[in-house]
Amino acid sequence: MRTLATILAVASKEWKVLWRDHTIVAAIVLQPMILTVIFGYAVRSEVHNAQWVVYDADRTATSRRLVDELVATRKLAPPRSVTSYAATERSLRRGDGAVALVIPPDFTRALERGEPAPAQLLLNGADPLVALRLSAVVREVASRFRPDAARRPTGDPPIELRRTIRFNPALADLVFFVPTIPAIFFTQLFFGLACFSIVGERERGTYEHLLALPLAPVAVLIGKVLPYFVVAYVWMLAYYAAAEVVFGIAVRGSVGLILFATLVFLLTSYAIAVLFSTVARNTHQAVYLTVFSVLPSTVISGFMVPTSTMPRAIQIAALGLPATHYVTILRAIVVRGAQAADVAAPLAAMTAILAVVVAGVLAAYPRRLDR
Amino acid sequence: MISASLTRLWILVRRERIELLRDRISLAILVGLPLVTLVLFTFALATDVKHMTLAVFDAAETPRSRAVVQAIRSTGYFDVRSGQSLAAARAALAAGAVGGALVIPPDVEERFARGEGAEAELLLDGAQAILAANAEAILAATVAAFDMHVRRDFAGAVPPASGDWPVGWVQVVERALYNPRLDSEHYMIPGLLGYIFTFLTILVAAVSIVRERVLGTFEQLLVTPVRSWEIIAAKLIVLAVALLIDDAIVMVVGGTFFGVWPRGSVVLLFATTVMYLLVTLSIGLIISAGSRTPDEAVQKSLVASTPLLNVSGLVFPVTSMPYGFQLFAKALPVYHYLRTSRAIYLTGAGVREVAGHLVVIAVYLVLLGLFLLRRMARNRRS
Repeated sequence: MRTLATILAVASKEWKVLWRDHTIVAAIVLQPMILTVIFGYAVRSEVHNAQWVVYDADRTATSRRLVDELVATRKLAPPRSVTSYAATERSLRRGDGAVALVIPPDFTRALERGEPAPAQLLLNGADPLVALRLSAVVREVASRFRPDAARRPTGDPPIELRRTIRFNPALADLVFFVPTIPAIFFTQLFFGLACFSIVGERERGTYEHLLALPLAPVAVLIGKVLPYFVVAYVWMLAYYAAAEVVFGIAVRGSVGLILFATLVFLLTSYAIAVLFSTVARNTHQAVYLTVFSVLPSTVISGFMVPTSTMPRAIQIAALGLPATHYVTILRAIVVRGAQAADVAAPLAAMTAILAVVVAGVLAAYPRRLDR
Repeated sequence: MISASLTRLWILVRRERIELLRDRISLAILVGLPLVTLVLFTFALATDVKHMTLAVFDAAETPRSRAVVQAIRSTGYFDVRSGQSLAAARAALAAGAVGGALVIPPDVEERFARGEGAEAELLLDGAQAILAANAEAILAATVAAFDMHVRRDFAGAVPPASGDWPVGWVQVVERALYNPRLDSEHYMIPGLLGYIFTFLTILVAAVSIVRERVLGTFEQLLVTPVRSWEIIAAKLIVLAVALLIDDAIVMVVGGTFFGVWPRGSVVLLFATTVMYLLVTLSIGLIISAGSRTPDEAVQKSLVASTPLLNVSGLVFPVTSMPYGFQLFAKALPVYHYLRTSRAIYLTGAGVREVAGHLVVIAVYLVLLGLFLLRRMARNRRS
């Protein structure tokens, strides 16, 4: 009972410290908002209104119609026109477009004679993602194109690809990003704040006061982190509510399951932060250790790009990060409505990481200051 | 006067250098982080379809349908696995065993002969949006190219009444410049320079002054006859040199292990990098001068670098963003540095092609430099 009271006392001290610091409050409010706006609105891997270049040496109504039909897909913006092949290449080199279409002089005549009319598509390798997508758009439009608009085929092209895309029919990137933003925000918040709060106190000398209290170090550690848990949970509930209203992304699975997985993730992140704080001797080093772990958590955890595209070795390394499992769980529950049994494996993996780190902390945590 | 100032500057530079080399962990990370990011970004952020397993169920089993499958196989992007039924293909997709499934219906040939279109079904895992869209693009392009052959083969068989096929068709011939396989490595490695010189630089600089303030050594420095600009210059010089060494490491490792060397002038690349480094170091020092504790500085630099990194075109194309964000991206110095670094690396661009971007970076450098000097002068008085 007394331990509980002292834990709460430490927690209330930490709570006051947290809110007194305006920059940290600003960071807690701002950082997730920035992340959400960026990954919800700005970041798009789908191609839309892309810049491109046309060298139309044919200059007939037909060749202009081909360009118009390409623009009509809305994947390509109205193109920049150039008047020579050399200018086309220069234009790509300057980065004016991801692709350039070259229509040769006898294009319309070949079409009218019933021959294949070659058109060259230059792909700008400096922008591979967009170039690849646009090449498909151009080929598809070209395969339907007829020289005479009136004699447009009513039937289908010989082979039509009918796409069925599961779970995310519009292939919207925000369905990929929005559900997992908490993973990134919590990683940054916990590794950063928790680690600094301990190392910072040690540097300022106030940590001695805490250790002088009649408390087990574990109680100090629990007390210190409680305010962050409160902030994290309140924020997360608000976040998913907002995601449903703003982006129309509702949580399909159980909210309780998310809350539980979040608890495991937060504990693991905190344990790692504590472990770092025992290794780092000053805040300077804590900064670098934090960055070193935040970076892989965003890049290889599967938040930005699915882990399945990564080489084996990196996939295995990613399994050691709690963020990888948390991202998997969030995506599964929110997007696919997964049940407890579906996410048991990542949950177990996360718990295993927690156990290993806690063992490490217990072995390394300094009870005494002279260590 | 000037020589006295230079002497002081030299002493300060030595001080900063000793300080930097003394801290083993910081040093290890200054060298290690670029290497780690190099590997992570190049391998992990690969958005290109490589060895995606594609379940193909060819119900038609005609020479032509087999040719479609062969055409897909020969793109080199997919590991084609033959399926036995539509249900099996769907199940494999749901289980995550394959990245996509293609089903060719049994009656394609008859439909071609009648001059009708046939439908092939493509199933993709939408949870992997970027990858699925890339795979779709490749498959659509392959099938569209295949259309041409079908059209030619059946040109005579089509009833003239349709008034369609006897006329010609457009044959798209592709040629990829600068990066023939459209590999994402070629895109990521020059982009990585932008990442390191934004994230790492802002962070390192942000901690530098505030840390001295916590340790109390900054006050000692302020009571000596050194000028504010000399303190700033010394910090900038030492950090810039350390980060330029990082630049060289990344270039050599990227070239040796990934075969991606800059096609354009290395001197131009270094010159641009120095300018950009000074911009981001200034941002970091401004943050540092305005922070009381290191954690405050770190939080501020994380907040500052998030939009810099994600709206800049580092991974996701700027042209796909909504218009407002495109304008925002183009107002950021990192956008211009990325464009320059990629242009020099990939297209071998010279000064003329990247002049516009260099001007923007230079404008930022001047503005931030002036702001930083005023900030430091105010700091000193208080």
